[in-house]
Order: sequence, then structure tokens, then C-alpha cells
Amino acid sequence: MCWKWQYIFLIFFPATIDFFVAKSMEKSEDEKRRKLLLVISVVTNLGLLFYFKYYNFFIDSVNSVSSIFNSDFFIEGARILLPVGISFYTFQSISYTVEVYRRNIMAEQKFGRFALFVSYFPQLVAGPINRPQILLPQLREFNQLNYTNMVEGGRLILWGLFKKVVVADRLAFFANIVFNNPDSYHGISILIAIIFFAFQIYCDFSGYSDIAIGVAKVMGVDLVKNFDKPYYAHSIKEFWSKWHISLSTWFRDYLYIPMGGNKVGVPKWLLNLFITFLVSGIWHGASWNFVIWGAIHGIFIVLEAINSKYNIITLKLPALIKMIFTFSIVSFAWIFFRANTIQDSFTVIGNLFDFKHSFLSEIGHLNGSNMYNLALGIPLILLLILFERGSEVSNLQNYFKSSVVFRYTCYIFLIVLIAFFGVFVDQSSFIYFQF
Amino acid sequence: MRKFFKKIFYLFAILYLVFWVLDVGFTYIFQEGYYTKIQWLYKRNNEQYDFVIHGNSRAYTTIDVGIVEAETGKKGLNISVDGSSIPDQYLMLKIFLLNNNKFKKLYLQVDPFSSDTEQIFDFAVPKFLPYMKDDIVFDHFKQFGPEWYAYRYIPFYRYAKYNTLWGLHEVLIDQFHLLKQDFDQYGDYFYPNIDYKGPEKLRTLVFNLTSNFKFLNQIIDLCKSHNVELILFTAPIVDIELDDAYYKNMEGFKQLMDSKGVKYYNYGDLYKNNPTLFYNEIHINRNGAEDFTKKILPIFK
Repeated sequence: MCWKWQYIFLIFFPATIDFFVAKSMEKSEDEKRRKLLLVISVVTNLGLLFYFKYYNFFIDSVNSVSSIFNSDFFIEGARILLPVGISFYTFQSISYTVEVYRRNIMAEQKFGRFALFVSYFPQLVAGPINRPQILLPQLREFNQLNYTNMVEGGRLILWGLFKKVVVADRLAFFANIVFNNPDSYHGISILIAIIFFAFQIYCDFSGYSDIAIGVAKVMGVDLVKNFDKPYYAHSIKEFWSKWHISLSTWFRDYLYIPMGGNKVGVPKWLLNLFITFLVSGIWHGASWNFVIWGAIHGIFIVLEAINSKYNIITLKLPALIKMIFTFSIVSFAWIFFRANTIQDSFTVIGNLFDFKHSFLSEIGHLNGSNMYNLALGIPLILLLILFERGSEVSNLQNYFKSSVVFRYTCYIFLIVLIAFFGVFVDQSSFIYFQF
Repeated sequence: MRKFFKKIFYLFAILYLVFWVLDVGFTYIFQEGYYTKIQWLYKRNNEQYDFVIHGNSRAYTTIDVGIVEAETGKKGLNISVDGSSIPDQYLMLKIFLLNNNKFKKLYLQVDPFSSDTEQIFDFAVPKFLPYMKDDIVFDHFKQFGPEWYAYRYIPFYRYAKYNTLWGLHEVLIDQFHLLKQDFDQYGDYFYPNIDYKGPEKLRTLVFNLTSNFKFLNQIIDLCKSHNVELILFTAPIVDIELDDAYYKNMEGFKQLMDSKGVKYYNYGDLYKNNPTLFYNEIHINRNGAEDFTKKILPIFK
């Protein structure tokens, strides 16, 4: 993930093509021509994405296969920097041309406004991926700054900042130590690192989304909600309706449904589900780890779909058990997402079930700062859960709305918590910036 | 909009007050504390020694002052701070002298890889943050960047930025004496004896003889102005490429220091890359410190 000024053309180029393609599509009544224009838009966007994100992965995979067969065939990789936000703005751009093709929206007539839609800065680098139906009309209006938006936006920014710099970055220390040295840790240490990473990535990504949505809100623009307490989900299907919502719905509308969705025979339906999650895995990164991560989710989604279709397991489990079971599967899949290599992933899994080593002796090697980071991890996760559950308690919400003193106390408490426990020394970037 | 900015103003005003109170409280507790080497050194006033050891972790962990005292009858103290670089060693020495501590000889550990550095390290420098309101500390650090103005003038900013080191946990540790110092009464710390196998490869270690040694020269001047005899030494290392270039360079540095009237002893190659007494590439272990101290006793007599 990087940035060069020349990369501005990587947004400008597909945006220009999509702008004119959409206008031509709108005017044309010739279905073949409209389809061709849509193909031009999709190929341009996905072509750029493939080259910058997947070209070297593809070449490496070809070279690996070649070496298995002892062939001399070898292709040199390209020296490419992954442009920041490319996975997000290409998908946003594709959604625009598809919606114009489907005649769900009119083509935007002003290039400047369309370019703003593609490159809208709060969500440019890590989403949420906004639909043209929602974002473009808002960009057409001149929104004067108003008190309510600024306060609501400010609250979201503050909350997002807390999740990012206090929870995510603090949990990252121990998770990084274990995942970067998987041979040295076992049993409880690994379990804690996996749980820490699960909350790290949630707070990192949802924290960024909150900041992005908050910044847009301050300017009077409503972006789509991207997270809805995903770790409270009772199934993998429900998890994906609460995690990275803008991406899951994108895949649903532009991949799963066009492939036939569930309006086909059962085997094809299950295949559609699996392919959607496999592609989602590949979207996240150019490595086999992400492919496996997507496949794990795909397999569980398929199993849940089979169960819902044929009622194989009719056992009624308490909600808490379902939640823990779902969280365990999601966390297990995170191992492949976080580990540096596939080999490391299997080392982590192998060591996870090795309880012969003493947890205390393993963490005894940590320096004082990392001991502190480890000790803070659990209370921070509990605090996060408390805050998130707290927002469901209507009495507290009413009190927050009615009492200025309570409201200010909450703001000050949160800011002081950020000052006390935020991580500011290492410039830790947001995990989802790399996608 | 006026309403919004009015509320933001109130919020900032309250926050300023909260952070100002926290800053005063944290600073008071940290300055009263005794846990870090800097806190410990700040409280040493009007003391007299025959010799003082100074430097980074390679001085902090290398000489057993207790043995020197027992063998020579001379009173010493180790004021080295692990992770420090020569700019903050200069500051520490200056503070130690300004606190009216007297000593005859200063043994300063110098390394080929850091004796001419003009940079400060994130690891050691935050230890000075509770003293940022002291002019001597601020005047020293402000040359390293504008953020030092922020550390001094924005309440609590320095404690928030380095909260892993100077956080709430450290307040509790200092206030209730929850942890003991990891160094002894002489200021020494020793690495445990472990079965260190030695480095994977050797490296070329030479002084940059054309460097201007800015802070080393300031230390030399400071010692002269306080009538302290300065003796430089390099502690043992286990991964040096011991070739002609190395020996020539060491001789060159010795001559350079001679020209400034400062003695230099190179013990970098004392153990000829034998790892038995080492903890890692650049630090000797407990047994190593004992052995090394006995070997260099003549320079303390």
C-alpha cells in the first residue's frame, strides 16, 4: 500500500472511462452496445485492480507451479506499489456503471461531481463502498454545515478514534509478537493472540469506518453503515450481514445475484455462495492465506445453507452458545488472515492445541511494555463490549440525550481514556488500507 | 454554528483544565519516584565519588562497581542508562554535575557505532519527560525538533504520547512502590548467565575518524571545566571482524583522543569473539561482568 502523485491518474483514468461509458449507455437503446460498454467499464476497473494488486501474486503462483515440475520457465515479477484505496474506488466505480446499465439511476452529467463520487476522501482509502443511488444525490446538494451533523459526526469520529488508537493498536502489540513468532508460543498464548487479533481487526476497521462516516457527516453527507456489532452474530450468515456490510452487499448485488443467487438449483446455489466468499477472500489480498480465509467462510456459509434447507440439525442452542460458536469459527479463520504465511497459519493452529508449555514462562520473556500491553488487552476488550452493549440500554441513551453534564462527562472520559491508553508512538496504519 | 463552536470552546477549556491537573499530578508522582535510572539519578545531590561509570547499556551492565570498590578501596557509581545515546549521556552528566556531585574520574563507554551520533533514541529519551519543565532538560532537547516544545507546553501531551512508559500503571508503581529497581545500589545491572552460542556472522566495527564527535567533545569540555579526568573505553563485543583495518582504526581513535588529552582503552576484542561470557552480541553476562571488571582493575588504580 503506497502513494505516488502519478497514481492520481489511476483514479482519473477509470473515472473518465466510466463517466463517458455511463453517459453512452444511458443514451443507447441498443442492448448489445450497452452490454459492450458495461464490459469496457468492468474490464478497465478490474484490469487495473488485477495488475496492481494481483499481477505479482499470479506470477509467483505460475512460477511455483513451474518449479514443482522442475521447469526452467520463470517470469520476472513487476515492481509495483499497491495504490492506496484501489480495491475500494474500483468497486464503487463498477457499482455506478452497473446501476446505470440496469437503469436504476441516471448517468451523472457533471464530470467533477462524478470524480468526487469516486474519490470522496473520507471513504476513499478503506470504504465504506457507497452506492451511487445514496452518495451521488447527496453530492449534488450543497450542504451547509449544521450543528446536529457536526455533533453527530464528531461523536462518531471520537468513538472511531477510541476503537482504533486505544483498543486496536494496543491489542496489536501482543498479537504481532505471537503471529510474527508462532514457533515460540503455544496454548493459552496463541488463544489470547487470536482473540486479540479478532478484536484488533474489528476495532481497526470499524474504527476507521466510524471516522470516515463521522467526517462525511460533519460535511452533511450520510455514508452507509459498515458494521453492526458483528461478534454478536449467531451464525456466519448473520456475521456477514454485520461485518463490512458495504462489501458484503456489493458482492451480493453484483456477483451472487447475477450468478443466479438462490433462484437456481441447490447445487448451483451452494456453488454461488462458495464462489462469492472465495472471491471476497481474494479481494482482501493477493495471497493464498486470504483465499483460504474466504474458503473457510464459504464452507461454513454453505453448511449453514444446507442446514437451513434440509433442517439436518434442529438442536435449539442458547443464543450465547451460538454467539460463542460463531465467534470461534470467525476467529479460527482470522488465523489465516493474520499469519504471515500459510506455513505460519498451520504452526499457529498446531501450537494452539499444545498445552504442554507454561503460559507464564512464555510471557515471562516479554519486556515491561509488552507485559503492560498484554495486561491491558482484556480490560480494553471488556470496556469495548460494555460500551457497545451500553448503547442498547435505552435509559442510558435517554440520559445521554437529556443531560448535558452526563454528555460532557462521557466525552471527557473518552478523551482522557484515549490519552491514557492510546498508542501514539508507532505510526500504526489501518489494516484495511492495504486492501 | 456559533452554538457548536461555543460548545467546542467549553469542551476544550474543560479538557485543558483536566489535562493540566493530570500533568501536575503525574509530574509530581514521577519526580518523587525512584524506579527508573533517571529518577534515581535526579535525587543524587552533594555526593562524592572517586569514579563514575557512564554510557549506554554496555556500560550499565559491564562493570561491577562493588568489585572495584572492594579491590581498590575507591568509591564509585554507575550512572549509565540503558538505551541512551551520547547526546542524552551528555545531558545526564551535566545534571549530575549541576546537582553538586563531585568525582575525580569519569569512565565513559564509547562505541564505534554510536560515539559520533547526534540522534536521540525513542527508547531512552522519554525517561526525561517528567523533567521537561526544567530549563536544562528542555534547552538540551529542543535542538532535536519542534515536538519538544509541545512536550513542554501542551499539558499532558508528553505523558499521553508515551503512555506505555509514563502511563497510569507507572503512576501506581511510583506512588505505591509496587516494583523494585532493576539495578543495584551502585547503579549496576547484570544480565543473567545464559548459554549464548555466539553471533551468526561477524561485522566490521570502526570509528568514523573524520566525524566531528559533537557530543563527545562536549563531554570532554564539561569534564575539563569540572576538573574531572575523562577515560574512554569500549566494552567487549563478540561479533567484530578482527582484521588489520579494525586494529588500525582503534589505534587511530586512540591517537585522536590522545590529541585531546583523553585516555582511551579498547576492550572490544578482549575475548577475541569467544561467546562464553556473553549474553548477546554486545552485552556480557553476570560472570562476564565479574571477569571483565577484574581484568580492567588496573585502570581504576
